[in-house]
Amino acid sequence: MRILVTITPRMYREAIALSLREHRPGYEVRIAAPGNAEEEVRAFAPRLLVHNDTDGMDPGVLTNVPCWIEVLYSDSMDARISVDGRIEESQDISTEELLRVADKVAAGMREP
Amino acid sequence: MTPARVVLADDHTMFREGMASVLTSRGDVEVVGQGPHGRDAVALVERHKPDVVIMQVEHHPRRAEEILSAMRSASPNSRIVVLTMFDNLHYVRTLSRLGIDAYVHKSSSVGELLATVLSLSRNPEGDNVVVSMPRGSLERIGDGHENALSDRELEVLVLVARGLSNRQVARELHISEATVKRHLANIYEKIGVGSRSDAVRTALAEQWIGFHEIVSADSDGHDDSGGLSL
Repeated sequence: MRILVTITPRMYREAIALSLREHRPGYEVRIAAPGNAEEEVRAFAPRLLVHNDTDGMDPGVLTNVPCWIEVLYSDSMDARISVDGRIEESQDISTEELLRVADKVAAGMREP
Repeated sequence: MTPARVVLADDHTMFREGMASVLTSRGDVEVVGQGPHGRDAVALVERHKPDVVIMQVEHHPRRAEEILSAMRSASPNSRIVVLTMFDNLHYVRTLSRLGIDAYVHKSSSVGELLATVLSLSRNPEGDNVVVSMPRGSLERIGDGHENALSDRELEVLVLVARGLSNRQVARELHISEATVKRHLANIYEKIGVGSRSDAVRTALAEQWIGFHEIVSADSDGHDDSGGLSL
């Protein structure tokens, strides 16, 4: 299970990625600045991308990732979550919710 | 060594919980309380009397002053680390005067924040302020007219940048309209511009005032955005 975190600013990005590694040591978690997201998606092929809506990332990047969480800095800290094409919304997203999504994505990978 | 006892105050739940998890996992830091910034954070500080408070500040200095003063009263010995997206020196100076112990820009790494927390907790009598911010912002110290503008003039510029008229600025700052005009005239002369729009443009370009100062408060000068100004 590969997760790429491109949230801005850097401190948020690192804290979220380190927390993911702490809670789910079996998952491979990488960070990248939004400007390097496209290249990192190509090289790392993450199953899940965690980013924010004001990061200036090329929207085309999302089409190359099966699942993503988009934190809406422009609208409180709610988030849009896309898992295998189904989009849901989450209010003030928490670590518990982040882990729930990551586990769901990982479980989907194991299904035949 | 006894772990540093820390209260974490940030509105962004996922970040706050993530940071708490990272800090706690190390063993030399104990997160004794966490929650949104503002009055809730003051209550946490009063209850736990932590060694260090890590506090998000994304609002107008006057609002920050209220919160910081309340924290100081609640726990005078706690060291206060401000986490912010503001990267202009005017803001650093203002918060330093409010008695903070560290100013950490959110472009800093988690490691830099952790080093700051440990440094402050191990040196409770220290009087230096730790500053971690983008190199470019620091390199601008003394380069421009920022140092020539008074705090009041910078305050006027922020309000003008928000689109307030002279009358509204006067009401906001509890001064006369004539005084506002005098401040503006002084600003024009000091920075060599001829209009309020040029003054604002120059101040923003030179980062004497920050974009966040303009957008993070309503026209009353009070934050109504829940501190969300990323």
